[in-house]
Amino acid sequence: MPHRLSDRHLSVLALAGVVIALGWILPNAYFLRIATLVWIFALATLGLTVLIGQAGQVSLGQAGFLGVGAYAAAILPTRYGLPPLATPFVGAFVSGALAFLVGRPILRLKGHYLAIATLGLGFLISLVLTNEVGWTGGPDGMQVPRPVVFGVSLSQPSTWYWISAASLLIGAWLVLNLDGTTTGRAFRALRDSEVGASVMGIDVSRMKLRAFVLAAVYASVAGSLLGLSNGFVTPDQSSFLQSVELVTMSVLGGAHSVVGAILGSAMLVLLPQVLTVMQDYETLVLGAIVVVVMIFLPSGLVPALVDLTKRLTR
Amino acid sequence: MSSLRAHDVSIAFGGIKALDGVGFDVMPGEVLAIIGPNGAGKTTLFNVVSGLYRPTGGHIELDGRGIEGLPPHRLAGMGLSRTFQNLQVFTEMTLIDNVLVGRHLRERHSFLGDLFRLPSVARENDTSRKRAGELIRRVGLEGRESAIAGTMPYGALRRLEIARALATEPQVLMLDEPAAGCNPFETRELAALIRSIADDGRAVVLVEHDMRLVMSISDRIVVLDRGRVIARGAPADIRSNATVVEAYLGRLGAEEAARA
Repeated sequence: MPHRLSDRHLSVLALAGVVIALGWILPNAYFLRIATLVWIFALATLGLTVLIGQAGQVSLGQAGFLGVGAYAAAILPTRYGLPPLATPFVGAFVSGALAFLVGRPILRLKGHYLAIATLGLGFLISLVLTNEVGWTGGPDGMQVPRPVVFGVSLSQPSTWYWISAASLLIGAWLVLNLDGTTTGRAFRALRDSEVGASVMGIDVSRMKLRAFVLAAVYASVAGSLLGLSNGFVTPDQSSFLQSVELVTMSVLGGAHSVVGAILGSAMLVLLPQVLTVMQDYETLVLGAIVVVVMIFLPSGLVPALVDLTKRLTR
Repeated sequence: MSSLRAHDVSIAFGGIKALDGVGFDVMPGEVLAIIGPNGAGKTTLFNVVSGLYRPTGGHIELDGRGIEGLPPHRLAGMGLSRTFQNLQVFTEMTLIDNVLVGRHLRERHSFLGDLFRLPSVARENDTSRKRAGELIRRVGLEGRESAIAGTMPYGALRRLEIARALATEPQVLMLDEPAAGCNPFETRELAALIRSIADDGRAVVLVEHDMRLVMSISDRIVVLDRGRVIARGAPADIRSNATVVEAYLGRLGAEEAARA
C-alpha cells in the first residue's frame, strides 16, 4: 500500500523537522540539555513501544538495560581503553546478549508473572552496579570519559543534542518500519491471541524474545548516550523507579504509538522541571497529573488526540 | 493415503479420561465430521491433534509423519491449521491484517530485513495482500478489509478465522463449530464454502452441533461420547444408529423418538 509508505516517511520527516527546529530555537545550554534528555528517554521508551505496545509483553526491568548501556560507556574506556564512541555498540551487544539468555526462560511467563520476573532482573542488574564497587564505583557512580574526535572533546550540550536527536530519529525510523511487515504483524498477533498466532505458524516464544532483545538494545543505547552526554553515571539510572518511569512514559503517551513514546518521555522529563516551583509538592502534583491522564485517556495521550482530530474533521 | 490419522489417542486431566482410545482418519478432498453431545471430548480431540495439548497415549500422523507433541506453529508449517470455537481472532487488527498473519510462513522474512525495510519486504507484501484479498472475497467479507476485527459481528469473525486458516495453505483444515451463532442463511453459505474447500483437495475435519449442516456436507462421521468413539460411518448410517440417538437423547428420549 503506497499510502502507508508515505505515512511512515512523513512521520520521520515531521519528527526531523521538530528536532531541527528545536535545535535552532532553544536559547541556551540548559534547554538543550533538557531536550537531549527527552530524546534519550524517548529512545529507551521506543523499545517499550515495540515490547509492550506491539508485542504485548511487560518489562519492569528495562532500566537494568539502561544501566548496562550507561556503565558500558563508563567502564569500557576507563578500564579497557575502548574509544568512548564505540561503547553504545558494545553495550548494545552485551544488553542484547543478556536479554537473549535471560529472555528465553522468563518469557514463558505471562502477565503479572512476567512483570515480576523482569522486575527481578532489573533489581539484579541494579544490585551488581551498586555493589561491585571495584568495577562500578559503587553508589557514587563513576566518571564517563568524553569522546575526542579529531582532537576536539565532545562536551558541548549542542553536540549531544544532535547526536541524541539523530539516534532517536534512526530508532523511530526502524520501529515505524516494522509496522506492516511480517514481523510487525506477528508481534501484534501474539499480543491479541497467542494461541491464534501459534496456529498461524508463528513461533510465539521466538517472537517475544526478538521484541525483548530489541527493547533491551534500545534501552542500552539510550543508557550509553545518557552516560556520554552527562559525563557521569550512577546506579540510580538502573533502579526500579527508573524502570517504572520508562513504562509510565510509554503508557502515558500511548503504548503502541511512536509519537506517544516521545510525547510521554517529554512530559515526564519536562514536568519535574516545571513543577520545581511547587517544591515539596512536586512529586504529588506529577503523580496526580499522571493519574488524571490515565483515568480520562486510558489509551494514552496520542491515541486520544488522534481520536479527537478524527471526530473534529468528520 | 490419509492426510491425517489419529490412532488410539488418549488424554487424562487429573483422574478424568477426557479421551480414551479415539481414532479417526481423513483423506484429501474429504469432509469428516466429529459429533457428540456436550462434554463428549470433541474440542479436546481438536486441541490434542492441533498441538495445544500433549496426548497421554496414542499416535497422530500428518501425511505419514508422527506429530503428537509438536507445537502448533510447527504443525502449521507441516500443513495443519484450525479455527476455534471460542474465537481467537486478532481483535485489534484489521480483517486483511488478520488474514495476512496467516501468510507468516509463506513470506520469506527476516527480523533485520523487516527492521530496515529491504525492498524484498514490499514485494512479499504485495503478493501476500493479493492472496489475502482473494481469501477475504472467498469467505464473503469483501469491502470490509480495513475494518477492525473487534468491531465485526460473530458470524463474520467465524468466516474470518476460516480465511486466516486458509492463508496458511493447509493440507488439513480443522473447523471447531464454524456455524455457531450463524443464521440459517449464513449456515447455507458456510456449507457451500466448506464443501468447496474440500473440493480443492484439502482434508476438512469438522466439529459441529448443527446436524443439518453436518448431514449435508460430511462424507463420514465419527460420533464421540464421554471420550470414546461410539459410532462411525456415512451420514445415513449415523442418523439411524440407535447408540447415537441414545447418547444424544438418553435412553428414555430414544424410546420416545422411536415411538414418534
